[in-house]
Amino acid sequence: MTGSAALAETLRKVFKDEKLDGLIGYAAGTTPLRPRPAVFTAPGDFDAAVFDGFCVQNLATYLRRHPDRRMGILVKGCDRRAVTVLIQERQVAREDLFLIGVPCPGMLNRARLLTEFPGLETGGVAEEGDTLTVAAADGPVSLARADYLLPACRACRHRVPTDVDLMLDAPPFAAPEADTSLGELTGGIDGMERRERAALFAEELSRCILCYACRNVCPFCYCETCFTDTLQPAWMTPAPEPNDIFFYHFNRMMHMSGRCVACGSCAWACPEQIPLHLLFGKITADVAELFAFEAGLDETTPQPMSHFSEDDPDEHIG
Amino acid sequence: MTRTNTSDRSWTLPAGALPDLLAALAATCELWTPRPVGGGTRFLPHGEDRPLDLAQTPPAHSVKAVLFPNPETLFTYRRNGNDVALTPPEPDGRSLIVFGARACDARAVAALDAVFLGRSIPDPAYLERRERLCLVGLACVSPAATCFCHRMGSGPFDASGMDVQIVPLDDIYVFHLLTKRGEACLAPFRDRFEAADGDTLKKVAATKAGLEGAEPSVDFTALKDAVKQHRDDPYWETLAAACLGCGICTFLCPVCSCFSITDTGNRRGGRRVRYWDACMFPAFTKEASGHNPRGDEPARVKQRFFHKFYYSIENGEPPGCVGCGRCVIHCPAGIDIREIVSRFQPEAAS
Ligand code: SF4
Ligand code: SF4
Ligand code: SF4
Repeated sequence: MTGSAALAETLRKVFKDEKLDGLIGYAAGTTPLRPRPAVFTAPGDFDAAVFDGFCVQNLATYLRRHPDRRMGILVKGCDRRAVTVLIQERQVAREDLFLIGVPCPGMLNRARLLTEFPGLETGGVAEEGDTLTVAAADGPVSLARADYLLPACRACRHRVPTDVDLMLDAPPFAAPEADTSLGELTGGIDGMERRERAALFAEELSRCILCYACRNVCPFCYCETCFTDTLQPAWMTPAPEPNDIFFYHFNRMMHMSGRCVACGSCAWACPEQIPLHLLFGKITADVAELFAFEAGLDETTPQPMSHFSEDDPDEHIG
Repeated sequence: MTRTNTSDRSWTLPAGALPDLLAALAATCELWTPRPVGGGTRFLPHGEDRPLDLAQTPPAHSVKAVLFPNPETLFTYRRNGNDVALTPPEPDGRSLIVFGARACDARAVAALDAVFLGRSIPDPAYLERRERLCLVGLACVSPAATCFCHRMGSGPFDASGMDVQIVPLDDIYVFHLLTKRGEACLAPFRDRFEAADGDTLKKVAATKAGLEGAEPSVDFTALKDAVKQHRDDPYWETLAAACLGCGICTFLCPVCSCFSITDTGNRRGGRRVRYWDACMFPAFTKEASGHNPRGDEPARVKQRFFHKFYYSIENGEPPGCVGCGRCVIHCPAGIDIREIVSRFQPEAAS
């Protein structure tokens, strides 16, 4: 489906037929592995439309930028769930949106592929069925797609978006679904001694430069002024010193509980390859365990953190 | 080995002897070497804890992170009754060697100098390190697909800004001593090297010729004029539609040097800390009144390119881009500065 004329035609038709003001999707980037988010606003724009295993970034993040407009948006499973959370939080209205679903094949770990096969930046990756063919230095190499999925995608159980206005055919490439769970991915953390756990995060987060890409890419980090940026009170020093970095990440994660859809965009965007899936995975697995809740699956079940119920778990209060 | 036709400014070192040389340098100098940390390579104080990585081109962070560290304590303060004592960090008398910096990063130092030293009062913290700097550069023998130093008027073998340039050949490194400072740093270790012979220098020349640019440099003056002409181009909005307003592009850029300053501590004492700031952050230009002269994403995206290709040139400073491609590699939104340059580069330049 990558950059196919069929995809362009379908999206163009929807854009015209539905009289959309804009359609948020992915367009070809300047290198094969870097498709980029795009807002298509004219029929001619759609020739650049693509969908492949590198279309990781959650597009729901862009919806709030287009108030009072009728927007189309291409949604994978996680983008669709993010739209639901935004509807619940009254940030967007369902009736303003035209949702175009695409069954997600599982997104690929570009950073890892590029490290292992540096030539890919120009050569690209051919995706077919459950196999990737990459141009290595000494000829093409076949890889199992499942081995190169991003951590969040390895654990994803909701690849096919639900309640969409138009569902596209599944792309002719995909990895088998879920070979692990968020709990399993992050389970190691529970077994650690307190100090060992602190040391793990201290080590990983020591690379954080507080660029806030992880915050800005997240569909739910939409506060007009983030707690990181308030001056009165100054909750944290804005310099990337160890305490402030910890404060930022753990607070952001608290704000994500019951909202994070585990799309993995934050970890994917991080230029320092900090394993943020340990954070969002843990908080999301904990919410699932404590409240039997997964964010964004339906609009009617209230989010556990914005809702009180008498049988909420309260062991931690003691 | 014959000593005829050798060069006293070009020395060779067997590749296997490099670790010992670095250990010896580290004993007397402040030495920074590129070593892998979590998927990327950064310049770190030299040590044995992580292997040397001279392959990642370019390293994830540039020399900027050494000369202009993030964060950096400018001074500590301590209050004693009505007195306040300010203590700047201890100056370090040793040479500061950054080993393995690439051509792009070495050129970027000139742009940092313009900001930190080129104004009426030199920045003391920057100056303290800059005066001790000995840049031991490394020619790039396998540029990345995202590199575009040629277009920015340089190339993988450009030695400008370096004190020593190293060219890796099969199993030796050729050290070209370019400045007095470079000579002074390596002179104590002269006996570890051989003088490079004619064959070696020919090989260096051949390697260099193989990497000569296919792409011509842009004409920066013409680019400046073209960018200015397109101040109100709707193109900026197209770029801004995807931009996340994060700090990746500016933080990883070897040239971007905007910073902010904050105090950390309490009434009794603390530190004044400088840290990287970014023109892509909304708060960067927010005024105390609440007014923000660059209040929306398109204004901020435009600013980044205007600073690099318009204001810098207009002010007679080096261009704000050296073609390292780090922002191309890391921008989540796929914004590619090469594409922007191509859009505005007038035909005449190519
Ligand atoms: S916290 Fe990360 S994984 Fe969770 S919704 Fe936000 S971007 Fe996606
Ligand atoms: S994207 Fe990475 S480096 Fe940037 S703030 Fe987030 S964790 Fe830190
Ligand atoms: S251009 Fe890219 S890297 Fe820079 S602020 Fe925008 S999204 Fe972040």
